[in-house]
Amino acid sequence: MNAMARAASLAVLGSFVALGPFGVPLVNGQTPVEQVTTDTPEYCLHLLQRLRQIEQTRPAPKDVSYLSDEGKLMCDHGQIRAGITRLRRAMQIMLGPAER
Amino acid sequence: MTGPGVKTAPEMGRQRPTLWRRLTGRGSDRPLRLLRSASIRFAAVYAVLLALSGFALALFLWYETAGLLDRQTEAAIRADAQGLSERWEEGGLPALVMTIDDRLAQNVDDDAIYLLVDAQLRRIAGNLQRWPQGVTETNAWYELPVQRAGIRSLARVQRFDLLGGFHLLVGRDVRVRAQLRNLLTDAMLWALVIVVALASAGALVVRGLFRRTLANISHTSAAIAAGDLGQRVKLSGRGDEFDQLAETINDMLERIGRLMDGVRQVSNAIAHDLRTPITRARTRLEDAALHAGSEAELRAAIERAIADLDGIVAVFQALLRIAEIEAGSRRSAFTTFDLAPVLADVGELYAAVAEERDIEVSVDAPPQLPANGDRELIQQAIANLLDNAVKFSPQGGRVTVSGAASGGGVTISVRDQGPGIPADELSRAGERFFRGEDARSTPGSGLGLALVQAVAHLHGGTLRLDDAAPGLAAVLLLPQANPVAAQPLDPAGPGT
Repeated sequence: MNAMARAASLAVLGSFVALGPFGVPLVNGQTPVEQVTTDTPEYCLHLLQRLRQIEQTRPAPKDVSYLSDEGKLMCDHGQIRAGITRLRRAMQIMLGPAER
Repeated sequence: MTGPGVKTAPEMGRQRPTLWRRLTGRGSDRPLRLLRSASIRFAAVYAVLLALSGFALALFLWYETAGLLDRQTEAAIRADAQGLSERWEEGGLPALVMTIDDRLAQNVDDDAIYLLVDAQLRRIAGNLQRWPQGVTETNAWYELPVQRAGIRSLARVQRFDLLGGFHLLVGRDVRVRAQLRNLLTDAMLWALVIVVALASAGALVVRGLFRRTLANISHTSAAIAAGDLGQRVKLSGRGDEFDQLAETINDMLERIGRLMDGVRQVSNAIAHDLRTPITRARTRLEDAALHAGSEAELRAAIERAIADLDGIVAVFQALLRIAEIEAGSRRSAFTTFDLAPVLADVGELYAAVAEERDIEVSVDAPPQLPANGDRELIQQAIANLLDNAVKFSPQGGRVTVSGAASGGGVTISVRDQGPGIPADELSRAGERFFRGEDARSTPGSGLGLALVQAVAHLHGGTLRLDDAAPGLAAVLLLPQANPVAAQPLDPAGPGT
């Protein structure tokens, strides 16, 4: 293998190591882990309040009431993520599919 | 400084580690066998090709699976960002904030990441507390460690800059995808390890196969070089390239064997058949020297001895002629010519000789008979056949010479009404110095048919001897080397 080919191979290998597969820069291990704020009891309350506000403007289907009650119960019992999931489903029904 | 255990500079310079010497061949009186071995090279090529193929396949599979997952995530993020951008353009900051809030509120999969900050990186909306360090470029992908409800995860995010100095971060949680990707990567790496192991094992097998096959040929060649000409390279029966090589070598050995047998036979025949006329000439000269009563008697004895010696010279000339023909050098003189006048000329020549014994010689040939080859040699071959036919024909008999085009070539036939050749002697009639039992009383050296045989072989043709019942039919088949359809014929042939 001549010198140029060897250098090219090493450069490719090095970029692989530095960037990871497909060249995505890795925010290194020194970066602090970011907290997601939508998996907290406070966010659970926020969703409940929003649901109540929307229910005041139009009647809520049975599913929505059921989901919101269940979500609140779960959040109260410390099952935050599961509770938030149910509240989000209720919001989806009330608001319709989110525009992407 | 000297002493026990202390090496001098020359001693240190002469010593090398054993492995180093084996790898470089330095300081060793054996050649660098490993790297020079053809079997090692073949095996290495096989191993490298297999490993590269496996690596290429693994890369392709990785790209199609884990890569596809990443591409899907990126497409979803881009579409999401496009929607937010349209909301920003339609309703400005308040619309964008409400949209982000709505999307988070409906994110049942709990995998969305949004963050909207102002020019001073103060949080306005979204589900991250602050702008992450290191995310500085737009149109670039980042993988961000995040924590959801105490569980550490990984998100793929991209930055978008908005008018007014606002910055938007959109992303997706890829923990599950990352786990799948890790699983795939591990599987691919293990697969690569297995491929490398298989490649190494395969390389050893290839090397062994290569060495065994070549060893077979090498041992046979060594035995032949040592003098055992009966050895032949064994065939595996698979009909592959190695078998073809072995067959070619065996064919070559057969030919060498036949040639050496021919040489041995000629040497024996020369010793046997030429000893008689040489002895006869010597006896006559000796007798003349001892008992000749007059100059006339002495002169007659000398002339008879000269005739005997001329016969011996003619035999040697014929042998040399046959050797020249068999060497194949006359092929360069091949040309296209008309065989019809050659048949007519030879027929006319021998008709005059045959007339003395009331033998009729007839020639049956078309007006033009194109042929390709050495005109002089073909003429001599026909003359030899005609000479034999006239010699062995009974008085008042008939000899027929015919020529015809057949199957793209030429067929020349000479038939006589003589005693013919017994069936058990037909196969040997073309050998040098062969004389049948019925022919021993007839003058000749036994080289005529051998020369015709050599001429036929030189032209890629054959000499066939058939029982004409009665007599012998000698058929000379000459293939046409080059098409002669539109070429002018040269009746004179080369050299005239």
